[in-house]
Amino acid sequence: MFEINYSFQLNNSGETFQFNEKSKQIFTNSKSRIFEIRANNGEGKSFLIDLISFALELHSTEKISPQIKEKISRLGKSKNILSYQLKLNFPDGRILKLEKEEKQSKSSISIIENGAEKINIGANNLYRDVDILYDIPQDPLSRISLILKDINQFNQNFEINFANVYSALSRVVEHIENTRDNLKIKQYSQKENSIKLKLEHAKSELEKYVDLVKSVELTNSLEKIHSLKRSILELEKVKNLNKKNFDQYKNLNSNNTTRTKKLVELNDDIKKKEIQISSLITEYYLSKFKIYFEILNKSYVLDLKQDNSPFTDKITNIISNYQFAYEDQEKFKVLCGNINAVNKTIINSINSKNLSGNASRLKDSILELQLIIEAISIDQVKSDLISKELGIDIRDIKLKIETKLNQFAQNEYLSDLEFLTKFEKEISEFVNESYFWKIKALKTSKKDFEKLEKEESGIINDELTKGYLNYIDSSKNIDEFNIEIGKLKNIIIKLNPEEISSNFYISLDDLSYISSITKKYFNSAKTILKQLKIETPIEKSTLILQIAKREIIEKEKEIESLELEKLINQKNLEIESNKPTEEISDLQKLYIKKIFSFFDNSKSIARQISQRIKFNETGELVRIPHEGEMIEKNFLKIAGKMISKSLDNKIIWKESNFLELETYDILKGQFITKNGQIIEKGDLSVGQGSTTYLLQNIKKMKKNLNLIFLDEIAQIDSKNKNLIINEIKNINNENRLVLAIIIRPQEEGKEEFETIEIN
Amino acid sequence: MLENQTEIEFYRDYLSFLLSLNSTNNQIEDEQLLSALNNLNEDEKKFIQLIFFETLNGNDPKKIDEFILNKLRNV
Repeated sequence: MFEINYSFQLNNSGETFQFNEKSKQIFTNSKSRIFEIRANNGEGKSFLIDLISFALELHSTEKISPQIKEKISRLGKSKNILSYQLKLNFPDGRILKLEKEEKQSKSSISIIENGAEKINIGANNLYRDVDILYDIPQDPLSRISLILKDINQFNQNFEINFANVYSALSRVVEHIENTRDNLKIKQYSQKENSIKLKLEHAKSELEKYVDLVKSVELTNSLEKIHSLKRSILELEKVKNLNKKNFDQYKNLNSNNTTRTKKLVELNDDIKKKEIQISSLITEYYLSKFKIYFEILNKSYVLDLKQDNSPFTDKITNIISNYQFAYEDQEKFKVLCGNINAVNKTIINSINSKNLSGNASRLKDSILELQLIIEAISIDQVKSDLISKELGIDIRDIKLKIETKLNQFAQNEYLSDLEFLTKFEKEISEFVNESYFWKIKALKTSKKDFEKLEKEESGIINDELTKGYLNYIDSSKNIDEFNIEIGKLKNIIIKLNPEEISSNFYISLDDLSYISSITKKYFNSAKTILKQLKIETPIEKSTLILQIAKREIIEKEKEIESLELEKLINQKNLEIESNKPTEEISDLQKLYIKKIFSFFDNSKSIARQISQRIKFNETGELVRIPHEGEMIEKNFLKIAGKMISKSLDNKIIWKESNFLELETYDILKGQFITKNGQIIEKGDLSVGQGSTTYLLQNIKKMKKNLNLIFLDEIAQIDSKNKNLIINEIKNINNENRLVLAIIIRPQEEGKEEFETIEIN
Repeated sequence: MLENQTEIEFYRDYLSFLLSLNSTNNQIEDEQLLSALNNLNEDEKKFIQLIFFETLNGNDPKKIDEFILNKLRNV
């Protein structure tokens, strides 16, 4: 009836299993199609039905439970060595041949009919006519207990995997964090611009207040100069009056004591006044110089005492402010470079009263000075000469300076600044004085110059010399210059020569600069006065000074803080910009951070469930969740659903009822059906339930060819077992049974492996 | 005892449960967790399930990281 040949090596172990020889004979020779295999555990009693199922590719169908499917699939593992040849006689006379060589992964399924063999018909074709029932009747309660116990491990596995994902995401997020974030770069750049604007504003405000303070202080100093000037004039008046009186007395033709006494008194007083006037004049000029140097700022004066270079820089800055072309700047820098030395030479020469001894030095100085003068006050002849000599378009430079100065001049000033406006006049006067003084120096050295020209002919450019001499001769106000220079010279001589050389030096360029920045102060002062809405005259306003100085401190603090902020922002921008790029958009970064945030915040829940939901050996909860532990209670609902699924979402109830399960309530130990029916776990009858289930399934087998395999039927009592066998016999009686095998453990004392025919 | 299929279904339900946690039914007070959950849309929830199940079969951290990055690049 049934031929069995197989060879099986589990996991390539070298130990080969074959079917029990005695049983094999029984199967081959029997007329029956129903058999019972009884064997001890470990004797491979289920192996035969698993092998036939494997050969029929039953594990590829949905006819069996996942548990049995897995059991059958194991035979096909690559490490196993399996070969077989099985022949099953169909009731209609055909023979089903199932073959497999060691190297084949699955069976060759053939049908032999009237001696002819249809090879490889395929499992799908076979199942059109053939139905198979393979079941392991099992106690649902023990199944539930086992699953519940497994939940402990399951929870741990879940928690571990959850942590693995969390770790992976941490690494990914860290990786992304260490790549360039364009959004951040954009933010830093925007911040940089914002700080820059704030800084510019703060610096501009600071400059205004500094200018205001300077304006006020300047005004106060100027008041002193005017006061000195008034005193000088008053003393001059008295002196002149006394002189007039002296002359009158002197011309009197008397020689009395009173007259003599009066003349002596008047003479003494005149001398006294002259000394006083001289002293005041000295103070007057010194005060003037002091103001100019204050304007140029004190550090500049200090620098001047040390060397000449800062001066040149200062001039360069002035030129930069006028926005000269770079080329002009360079040329002008060269031109201005020696101004300091020129002036010092002249001053020292005057002081030493030894001009002739310095003829050679003076010659150079004079030439340089001439250029300076030309730069400010120019005529066509000199301009052409200088342009030719130095390659500088002096007229262009002059035009630029004048344009700039005119811009300042066009501004209107507040009436409060009227006094300061007078200072403009003072500046102009001083420019003239200085100018005259320098002309005088030229004049004084004229003879030396001429002498030199004769001695060293060819050294000096003829045309230039000619132009220079013409220029000097054509000066209309030369006498007036002499008077002014005389005054200056007297003062200079009275002063300490060292102080003169360090302080008494100012160029025409400086004066132009002074003129321009003074006007700049006025403008700033005007703006701030408007802002503060203060009408008080500047020179009297100590309040303005206080406010301005306080604001200066505040602005300096603000600038310092902004500079620091700028530095930090620049550093951040640098760090971010130096990071490697990653082809992940900002949106994707946001996306993964959201995902990470979920795992980060949920991992504690997974741990909490793993720790609090535990089942003991019999599937009972070790700890019942408290009333408020909703997460645990809700989790148990999921576990209940899983238990229901593991029972294929159905249970057998009473004689023949299949009930569709909704879930299993772990806390209450109740099954809940889809219809809402509640069944207590303890009410399930194992044997009865299984028998009813099997009977139902056998009755459902309606095809012409049927195979029935029942494993582990020990828990079904003999009465119920007979009911099942009778149902199988009914199929056999209808000639629809190919083979039925039921398996149970062997009774004690009997042979280890036994096959029994059931007729 | 648990068959693979059942276990995977269980994981899926468990993960869905975590993703559906809320303050009403589960009495969660952790504001950060609630905020993290509220921020997730359906696509992101699917992404979470995808990477969770991918890590189930993989032990090589480098491969897992690369998988996540690759998936992220296609988001």
